[in-house]
This record gives sequence, structure tokens and C-alpha cells, in this order.
Amino acid sequence: MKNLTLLFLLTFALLGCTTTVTRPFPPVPAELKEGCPTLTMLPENTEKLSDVLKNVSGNYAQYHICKSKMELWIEWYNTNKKINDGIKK
Amino acid sequence: MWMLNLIPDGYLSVLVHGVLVVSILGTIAGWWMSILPPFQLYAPFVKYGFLTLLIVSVYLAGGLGPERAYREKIAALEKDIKTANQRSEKVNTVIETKIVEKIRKVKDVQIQVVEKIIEVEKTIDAKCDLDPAVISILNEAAKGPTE
Repeated sequence: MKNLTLLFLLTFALLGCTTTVTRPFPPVPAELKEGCPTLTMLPENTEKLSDVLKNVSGNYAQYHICKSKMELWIEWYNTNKKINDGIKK
Repeated sequence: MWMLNLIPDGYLSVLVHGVLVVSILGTIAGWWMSILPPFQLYAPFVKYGFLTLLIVSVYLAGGLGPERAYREKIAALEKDIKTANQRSEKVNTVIETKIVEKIRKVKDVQIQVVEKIIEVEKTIDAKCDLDPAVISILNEAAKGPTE
């Protein structure tokens, strides 16, 4: 009984409570979390060159929007990495 | 020293040093009680009880310095994190504004292109006879690789 009490007290003394200070991952703007949409396809019965042009220019616009989001995602990541690295640990 | 973690900043030094002084006085009192006949019966309890308290309070007093330094470091780190979070929020506002602006510019260009197509569509449609292979090849390219 005495040994058990001693063991318990020793374990109690050795157990440490540590304070951890953490920084949660910063929230990402919702627009940057959206994936790139699939490209628009032409109907099989398309006969006019103007319809082809409209479709292609629309897909090019989708590409440019996606490209802009990618560039802004990289900018967001690099800026937040600098901010995080600046925290003195 | 985790036990010191439980004591608020304002009371830390006062409490630890207070207990140290009390335990010293209690130990001395215990020694005196052992030589005074009316109290000799209780002297061992008082002496060894306060001696144990003295050992514990010396141990805690020794941990005061590191505990204070640790708390200061935590406070500084929490302040840095708060500043970092505020900066991240500003970054998000800037990025969101840029996204809206870039999408607007792309859509403006898209509108201009469609207007130009509409201007010339009768001419180009009359001159061009589309082979169905054109449509299937373009659609294959638009679909991309199958996963």
C-alpha cells in the first residue's frame, strides 16, 4: 500500500502539463478554393464557324480566369508563408 | 513545475514565498515543540509536516524564475500570432478584391470578342463549310485526358 501510494505520488509529480501555443492555418478566400471548371464542348451538329469561334473564345476566357486564380493562390500562399515565418518561435 | 502553471500571475510570487516563510517558521516551531513538555506529543507531526512543506516550497520557489520567463515567452508569442492573424485578414481582403477585378477584365474582353464575332458572323459562315471532324477534334481537346 505504501509503495503504491509512493508510486502514485511520483507519477503525479512527473506528469507535466504543457502549454502549447499554436497558430491555426489562416482561412483561404472562398474563390481560391474553387477548382477550374471543365471546358465547354460544341454540339455535334454545329455547322457555323462563328459558333466555333464563340465556343473557343469562351474557353479561352475560362482559362484566363483560372490562370488569374492560380496566380493569386500563389501570391496568397507566399505572403502567408512570410507572415508565418516572421513569428518568433 | 507544472503546478505553478495553475497559479495566476498576480499571486504567484506572493503565494510561493509566503508558503516558504510559513514552512520555515513551522519547522522551527516544530523543533521548539519537541523540547516543551506540553507539546511534545504533537511535535513530530508539526516538525515533519512543515519540513515536507518546506521541501516542496523550496522546489517551487526554485521554479519561479523559469516559470516567469516561460509565461513572458508565451505572452510574446500570442501577441505575434494575433498580429500575424490581422495581417492575414488584410491579405485576404486584397486578394478578394484582385480576384473580382481580374474576372471583370476577362469578362469585358470576352464581351468585346463576342461582339466582333457577331459583326463578321454572316461573312465567315458563308465562306466556311465546317467538316464534322473539326467539331469532334475540338471536343476531344476540350475534354482533355480521361482519368
